[in-house]
Amino acid sequence: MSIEITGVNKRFGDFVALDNVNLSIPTGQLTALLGPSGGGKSTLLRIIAGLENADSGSVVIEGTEATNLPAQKRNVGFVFQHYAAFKHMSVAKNVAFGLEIRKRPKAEVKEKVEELLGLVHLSQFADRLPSQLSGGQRQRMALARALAIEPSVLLLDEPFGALDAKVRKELREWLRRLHDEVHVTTVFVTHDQEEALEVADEIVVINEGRIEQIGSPDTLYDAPSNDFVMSFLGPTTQLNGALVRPHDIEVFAHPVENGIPARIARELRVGFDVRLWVELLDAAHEEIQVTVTRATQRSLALAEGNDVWLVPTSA
Amino acid sequence: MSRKVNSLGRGSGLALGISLTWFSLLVLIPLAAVVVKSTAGGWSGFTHTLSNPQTQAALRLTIGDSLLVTVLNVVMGTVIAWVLVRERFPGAAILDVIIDLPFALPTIVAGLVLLSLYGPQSPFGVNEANTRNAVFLALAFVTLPFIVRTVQPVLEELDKDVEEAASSLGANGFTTFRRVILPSLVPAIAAGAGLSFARAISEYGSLVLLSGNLPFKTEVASVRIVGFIEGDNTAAASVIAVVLLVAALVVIVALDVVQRRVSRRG
Repeated sequence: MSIEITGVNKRFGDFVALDNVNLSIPTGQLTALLGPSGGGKSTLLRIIAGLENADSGSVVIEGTEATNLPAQKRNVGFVFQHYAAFKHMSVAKNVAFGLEIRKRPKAEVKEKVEELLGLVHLSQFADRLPSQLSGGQRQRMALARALAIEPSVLLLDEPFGALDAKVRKELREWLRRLHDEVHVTTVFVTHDQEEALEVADEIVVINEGRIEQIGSPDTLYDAPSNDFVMSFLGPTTQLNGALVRPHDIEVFAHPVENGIPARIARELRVGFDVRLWVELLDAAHEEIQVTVTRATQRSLALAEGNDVWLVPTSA
Repeated sequence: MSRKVNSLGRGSGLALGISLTWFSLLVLIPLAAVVVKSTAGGWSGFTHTLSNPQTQAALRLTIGDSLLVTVLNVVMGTVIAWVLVRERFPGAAILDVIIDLPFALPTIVAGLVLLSLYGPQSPFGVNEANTRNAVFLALAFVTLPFIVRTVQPVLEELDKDVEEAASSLGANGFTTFRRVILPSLVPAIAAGAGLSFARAISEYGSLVLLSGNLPFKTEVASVRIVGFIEGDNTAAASVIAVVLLVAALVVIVALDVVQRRVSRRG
């Protein structure tokens, strides 16, 4: 195990940021800390990096007791949401910073910087200042800077949070490929479930200072351990008092056994998906959401006002 | 579309015209007048004034002490700004207000304060009246706020995560300060130093009482100028004024060069 967190507590005044957190993060994997804002995930990341001290509990990184080590001695790479670029230094100087601190020979620093700038596709920007780069380029520079010190773990705090949607998506895929090349144990914080599902090997769901569930993206999506995890990862709707995913409800245009009678109130097509709001024809007249494919909608000739029968397909 | 651009252009052209006229009336024309006046006696009049030993002593004292005070302010002003922004201590808000006092105080009042504190009737028994220390003290007093007030806002705007990035990359506190924080402060320090120096070479009110204005000892350039004017020798007064003007220009240009070099190097 690369990072062992045992019994970590952290309060800010009366606010409990972390409540007895225990977590093992495996070596060489890409782990996402996922949860709503203010849930404690960034605090946990900062405690791992030594940028914040836990009130109690311990942090062990690669077998080294790190609880009382200052950030500068942890050999941890940290990437910030707002890049934290050294504005007065060129891109190459930014990347070289950690190596110069370690007093590496000039030739070695130069070689390493060139290699890393190649890796993050910024070779032709080596002599620019950070202010002359786009947000996505700045974040890649920050990543190269963090990787330069050959960290035992790489920590990213909402790394794509300040970027626009398109760049965010590109960088996400790029981070995944980069990780497959570099293999450094990586932990990143995000509140975006799609980002976590797409990039991570393992997801740790954190809410109100506690870990809700740990598992692979598939496990979390298909077998959430509680309603919070289920509703945080992907869409949900209430059917007869239980949470189900709108695409896990089968729709029939004719009465079927155990089918729940309902009537289509509204429909909305979003690309390949068709979202239906259907009114259950029971006493409560509850409205629930069902997602079907465009093909299903066509073949059943579903339209507003039609009567349908619903069968939940899972659980 | 093009009309819109034109009307905007006309508006900013007007603003430019007004700014330049205002600047000329207030600054350029008076400065030019001083320079013209200083050459009234021709080149020989100029050198005659400057070869006067008493004038030379006054200029040496003024420029030398102003440079020293500016160096002192670079260090102390940065430290005070740092303490005001980064440290939490009781009375911080009061100190923050008091820093401006040397700005706000009429200079002759500052002179009076200094005289009563460090003059012959000093309650601490520190009598610096009629000494060179008095000149230095008065200059340090009135120029204190400049660097504090230029550095403080920059320090407040500095992102904390930049320092955290440096420390996660292995830099200790001192290295982080020297390589990351200081370069961001250099432009502000240089600007404050320029103001501080300019104020120091022109200072009059706060030091006339305590320094005693002794020729060759505590007489500064501005007192010398007043002396020449009282003796109806405006040409000589203008010559000193021009020397002070040149000194200020040289220091401002030098600071700009230093600032560019330091903030580029990192």
